[in-house]
Amino acid sequence: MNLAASLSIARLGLSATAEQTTVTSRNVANVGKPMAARKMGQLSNVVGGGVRVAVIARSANEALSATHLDAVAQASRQDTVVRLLDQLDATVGDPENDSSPAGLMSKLSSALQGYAAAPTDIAAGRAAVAAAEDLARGLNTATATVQDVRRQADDGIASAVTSLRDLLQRFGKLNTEVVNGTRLGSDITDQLDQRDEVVSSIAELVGVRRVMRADGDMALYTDGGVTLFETSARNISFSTTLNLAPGINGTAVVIDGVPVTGPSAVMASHSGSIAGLATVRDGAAVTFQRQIDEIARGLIETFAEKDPAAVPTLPDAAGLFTWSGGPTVPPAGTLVDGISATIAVNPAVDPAQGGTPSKLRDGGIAGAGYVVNTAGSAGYTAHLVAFQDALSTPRTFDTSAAVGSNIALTAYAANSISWLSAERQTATNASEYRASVLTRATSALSNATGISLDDEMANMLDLERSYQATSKLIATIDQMLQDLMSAIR
Amino acid sequence: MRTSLISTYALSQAARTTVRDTQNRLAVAQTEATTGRRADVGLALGVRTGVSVALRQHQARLQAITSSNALASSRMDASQSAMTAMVGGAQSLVSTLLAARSSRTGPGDAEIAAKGALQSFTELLNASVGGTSLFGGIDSDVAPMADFFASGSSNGTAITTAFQTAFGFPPGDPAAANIDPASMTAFLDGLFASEFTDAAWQASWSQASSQNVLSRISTNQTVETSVNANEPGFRQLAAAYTMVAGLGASKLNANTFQVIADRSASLAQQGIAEIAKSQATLGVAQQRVATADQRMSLEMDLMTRSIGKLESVDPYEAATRVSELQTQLETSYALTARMQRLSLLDYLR
Repeated sequence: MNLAASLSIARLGLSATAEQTTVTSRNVANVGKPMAARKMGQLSNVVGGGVRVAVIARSANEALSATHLDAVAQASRQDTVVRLLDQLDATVGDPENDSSPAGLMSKLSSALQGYAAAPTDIAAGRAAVAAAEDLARGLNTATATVQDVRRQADDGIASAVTSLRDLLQRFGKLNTEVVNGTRLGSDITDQLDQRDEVVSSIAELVGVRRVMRADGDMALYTDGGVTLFETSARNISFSTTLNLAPGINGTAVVIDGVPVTGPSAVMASHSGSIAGLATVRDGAAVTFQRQIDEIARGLIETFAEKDPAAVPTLPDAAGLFTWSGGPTVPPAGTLVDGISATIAVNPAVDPAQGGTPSKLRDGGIAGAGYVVNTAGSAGYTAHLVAFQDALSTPRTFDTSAAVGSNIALTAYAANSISWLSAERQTATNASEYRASVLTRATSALSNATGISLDDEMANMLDLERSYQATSKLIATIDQMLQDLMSAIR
Repeated sequence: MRTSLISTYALSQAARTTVRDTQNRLAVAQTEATTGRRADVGLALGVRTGVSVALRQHQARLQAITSSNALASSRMDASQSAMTAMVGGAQSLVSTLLAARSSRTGPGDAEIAAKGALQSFTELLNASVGGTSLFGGIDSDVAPMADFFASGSSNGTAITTAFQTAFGFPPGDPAAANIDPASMTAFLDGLFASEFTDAAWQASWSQASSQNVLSRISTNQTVETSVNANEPGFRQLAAAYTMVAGLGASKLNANTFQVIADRSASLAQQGIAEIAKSQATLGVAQQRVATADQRMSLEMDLMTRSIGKLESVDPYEAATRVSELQTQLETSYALTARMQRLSLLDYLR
C-alpha cells in the first residue's frame, strides 16, 4: 500500500460521507411530509479499497402499505356516506321538535281534534287547514332535500372521476420515470415517494390494489378487480344526470368498460369516496325518497272523499290533500314516484285560495256529490272523527320502501324515522371504526418507514465524526508527503 | 442500521388525534349535561327512534283529546244547571196552579206566572256556551226555541190558529168565558196536543236537531255529549206552560180554568220526570268523560316516563363525564407541549 492509495481511499471516504450527509439532509427536509419514506445511503466496497455509496435505498414495507391503502379507501367511503346521511337527517330533526313528517302529522291530528271539539268555530277550521298545509309543505321540503343530496352525490362522483383521470395521468408519468431510472440505475427514490403519494390519493377516490412488476413497474387494480392502470391508464367514463328526480336513476361509473357502481355491477368497488357517493345516490336516498312518497300517497288516500250515497256511483276523489294527478286518488299499495313534491292542500278548502274550511267538517271538497253533512248542521263531528280514526287504520304500502306494508300511516312515518336513524347509526359507528383503523395503519406505516428527526440527528453526529477523522487523515497524509518532498530537496 | 421504530410524524399525530377526539367527546358531554337529553337522539337510539316518535305522537293525541274533553265537560255542566233551573221553574208553577184553583183572582195570577215561566224556560233552552247553543243538538249554531211572545212567532201563531179553529175566536176574547170544560178537554186532547207532536214541534217550536253532539272522549270512545231541545221532557213543559200562558186563561170561567190547571199541573209533573231522565243520561256521559280523562292523564304520565327512559341521560353521569374529559384534555395539552419541547437538537452543543 502506498500513500497515494491511502489518499484516494480517504477522498472516496470523504465523498461517501458527503453523499450520506446529503441523504440525511433530504430526510430532515421531508420530516414534515406525512408519508415520506426514510432514505438510506448503502455503502459498498470498491475494488482496490475504499467505499462508495452504491445505492440510495428507500425504506418500504409492502404489507403495511397495502393495509394503509385499504384503510384510506374504507375511511373515505364511510366518511362520505355519513356526511350525506347527516344531510338527509335534516328532514327529520330531533323528535322533540315535531318538524318531521311524523311530527307534523301529529299536529294535524291535534288540530282535527280541536276542530271536532268546536265544530262551529271557524278559527278551529282554519287552524286545521293550516296544520294540513304545514304537513304538505314539510313533505315538499323533504323531497327537495333528498333530491338535493342525490344531486350533490352525482356532482361529487363527476368531480371525483375527473380527479381520478388526472391522478392516473400523473401516475403514468411517474411510473415511466421509475422504470427508466431503475433500468439506468439512477436515484429514483423521490419519484417513488411521489408515486406512492399519487396512489394514496387514488385510494381516497376508489379502493386500489398494487401489483409490483419487473423494473419497478406498478400496475393498479380497483378493489373489485377492474384494471385501473397497466402500462397505460384505462378509460373512465361517467356522465351526470341533469334531470335527477324521484324514480330516475343516476348513471354508473365505468372503468375499462366495466361498471363499478350500481346494484347490477358484478365487479363493484366497495371502498373509496366514489363507492360511498354511489351507495347513497342509488341506495339510501332512493329508499328514503320512496318512504316520503308513500307517506304522501297514504295521506291522500286517508283524506280522500267517498260517495256517501247508499249505492255509490262517484269514484273516490282527493279531499283535503290533492296532488298533481288529482282529483283521482292514486291506487292503493303502489308507489308513485315524486308524489310528495306535488302534494298540496286542496284549494277548495284553503281560505288563502278562496276555499271554505268548513268543507273539511261537512265533506264536499271534491264536489257537491261528496257532501256527508247533508243537513248542514254546524255541530256535525262524525266526519272529522272518522278522519282521525283513518290516520290510525292499517293500510297497504309498497314493499319497495322497506319499512312495512300493512300498518297505519302514523306508524309508517315513525318507522321511516327509525330506518333513517338506524342507517345513520350504523354508518357513524363504521366511520368511527374506520377512522381509528386508518390512524393506526398510518402510524404503523410511518413508524416502519418514516423519518425520525432524532435518529437523523444522531446519524449526523456519526457522519461529522467520520468526516473529521477522514479530514484529519488527509491532513496527516499530506504532512507525510510534504516531509517526503522536503527530504528529497 | 435502524434501531428505533418510531417516526416524528407518528409521534406528533398521536398527540393531535387524542386532543381532537377528546374535544369532540367533550362537546357532546357538555350538551348532554346541560339539557339532560342525548345530544343526537337519532344517532343514540338508531332503530328505536321510531318508538320515541310513536310515543310522542300518542302523547300529543291524548293531550288534544284531554283539552277537547274540557270543552265538552263545561258544556255538559252548563246544560245540567240549565235543566235543574227548568225543573225548579216547573215545580214553582205547579204550586202556583194548585193555589190558583181555589182563588177568585187565580186565573189571572196563574196566567202571569205561566207567562214568566215560559219566558225563562225559553231563555234557558236557548242558553249557549262559547257560541254553541247547549240544547240545539248538532245544529248548534242557532238558538233552538222560538220566542212564543214575539209578534208573528211560529209557535204563537200555531197555537192561536188552533184555538181559533176549535172555538171560532182568538185566545183572550171575552167570549172565552162561555167555553165549557168538556169542549176545552176535547181541544186539549185534540188540536192542542197535535201542536206538540214531533213533526209540529220541529215545524213551529224548535230549530234544534234531534241528533246529539258526538264527541271523541278517548282514543277508542265516542259519546253523545249534549241534550237536544226535541226531547219529550221539554215538549211537555212547553205544553204545560202554553196551556196556562197562551190560551187566555184569565178570561176563562172557573170550571174550564180548573180543567186547564189540572192538565197543566199533571203535564208539568210528567215533564219534570222526563227531564230528570235526560239529566241522568247526560250525567252518565259526564261520568264517562271524567273516567276517560283520569285514564288518559295516567297514560300521559306513563308516556312521559317512557320517553324519558329512551331519550334522557343521567345528569350526574353526564356531569361526571364532562369533568373527566376536561381533566383528560388538560393532561393531553400538557403532554403535547412537553413532548414538542423534547428534541435532540437542544442538546447538540
